[in-house]
Amino acid sequence: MKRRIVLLTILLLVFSTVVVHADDTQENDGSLSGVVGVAAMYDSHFDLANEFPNDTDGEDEFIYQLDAKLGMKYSWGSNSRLEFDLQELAYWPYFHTEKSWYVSNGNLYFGFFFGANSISMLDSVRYFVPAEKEETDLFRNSFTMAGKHKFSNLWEGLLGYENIINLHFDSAGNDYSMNGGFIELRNTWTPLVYTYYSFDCLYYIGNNQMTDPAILSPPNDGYRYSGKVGFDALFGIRHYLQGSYTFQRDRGDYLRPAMIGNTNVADNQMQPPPPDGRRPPPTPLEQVRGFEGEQASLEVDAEFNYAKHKATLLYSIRFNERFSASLYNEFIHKDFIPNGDMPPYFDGDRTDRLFLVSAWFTARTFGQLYAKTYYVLRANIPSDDEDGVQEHIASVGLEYRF
Amino acid sequence: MSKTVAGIALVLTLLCAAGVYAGDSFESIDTWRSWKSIEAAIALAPLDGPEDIREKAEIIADRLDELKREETRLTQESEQNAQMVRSLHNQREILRNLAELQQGRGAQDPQQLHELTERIQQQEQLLKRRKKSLNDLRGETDRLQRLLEEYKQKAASLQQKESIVP
Repeated sequence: MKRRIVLLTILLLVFSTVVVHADDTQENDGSLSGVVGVAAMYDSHFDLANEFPNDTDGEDEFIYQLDAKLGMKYSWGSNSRLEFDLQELAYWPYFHTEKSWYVSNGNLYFGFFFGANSISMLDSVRYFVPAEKEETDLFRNSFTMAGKHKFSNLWEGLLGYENIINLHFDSAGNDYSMNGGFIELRNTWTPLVYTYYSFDCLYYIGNNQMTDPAILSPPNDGYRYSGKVGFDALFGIRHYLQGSYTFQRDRGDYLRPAMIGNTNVADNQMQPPPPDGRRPPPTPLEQVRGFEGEQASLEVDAEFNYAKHKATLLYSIRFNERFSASLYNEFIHKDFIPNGDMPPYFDGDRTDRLFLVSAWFTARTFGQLYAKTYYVLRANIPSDDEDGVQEHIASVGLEYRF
Repeated sequence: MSKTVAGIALVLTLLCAAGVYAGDSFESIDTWRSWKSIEAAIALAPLDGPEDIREKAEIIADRLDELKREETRLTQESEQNAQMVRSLHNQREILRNLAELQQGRGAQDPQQLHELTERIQQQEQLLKRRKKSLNDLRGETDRLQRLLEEYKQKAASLQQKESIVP
């Protein structure tokens, strides 16, 4: 608890320092903006372990959400840009439990442009405070640094470094960090239509310090690489179409301390498989709860040893200055591939087929007051039909932007 | 196998045919600044008569026409640019909302967010340059417009004096 207060305080201090700096300056290139919003959500597949004692088994839930965001932009001359934003989200379920959960997101971007070329950095922080006491806070930091070079009017290249750190403050055995690089070629067809081809490779290291052998921990080490092709098209100025196909392969080594130097497989069975032979309940590593949905219907970052095909299509339209709408569809086919050193209970033969269909609508009502609504359908139709999940989420909210 | 090869060949052909590019770069924003200066051609000499001044006024009027065409082009491009910036912001907001549904990841990865953020910055920078160019161009148009009026008045005044003097 102390750690999360300290972290939030640091984030707020950093933010206020930057804001004060922006206010002090006499330059007219800086701007400050913010959003305060409230929303009510319906989730058809809400699931918390510790619900009200007299709670029925119904899975429907209404959740209140509070959203506050502050953003700042600042530029020096015509070449350097700084952008910073901080978002705080809080969720309160209504029927099944009084436990709430919180999310903090922060983004810091710096870009230096020289002509059509650029060097830029982006740091994204996420801090998740779960509803359940048994689950641990999650801190994730993603840092990317990239250099872009324009070869010609048609082609530009991007070379970058990526670092991702995942920390679980009360369960260090689940921590893992990733380091890697990415390369991307971008082809300009018209000034508003791009296609891109990218490849990235990440090497990750898990924490050897096992706090609980029952926990499905990340591998000791491993790599994840992916190839991606996609397009971005802005047409008629107001229509945006974006699509991509990604193939990703993850291969992790589950060698545990007990296994090192021990070739006796029986000794390495650190725990028995669950009685029914199926996957154990979600662990801190996989924690996703409440509004963030049933884990089985999500593409979870902390999964390893798989081959994944992912296709996405996003269409958005700004009808005018008041109304905008978006449709986003996603399909993922993920094969979990058995590895010799997998945890004993891990069902390596599982195949997930994840679908996500969503529609979003935003309308400016009076002044800077916006109404937002969206609907999301998420489903998993895995190879083992018994684990199939279907989830509907609908949200209506108001937000004030300044 | 042959279908795979045909697919790859099709993609490569499309990539090679990517010559449909129409430029949208920093260079096109300030084109009018590099036009040949008319200052020497319109400078008034002590012995200039009404006809000389009218000829110089015509040079100014021609330049004003060119500047107005350029102003129309830059205004349209700025409006498009501003719309594009709003659409990109909208896009980023959607991606962040989607990411929030996926634990802050999933619907987007850091690279995608990075690329979109950079694209927004570049478009905003382009818009800023266009607006500055447009402001300067309007300033130049106003200056030449005043000069044109001045020349017309001077030519008329000289014409009147010549008609009075026998």
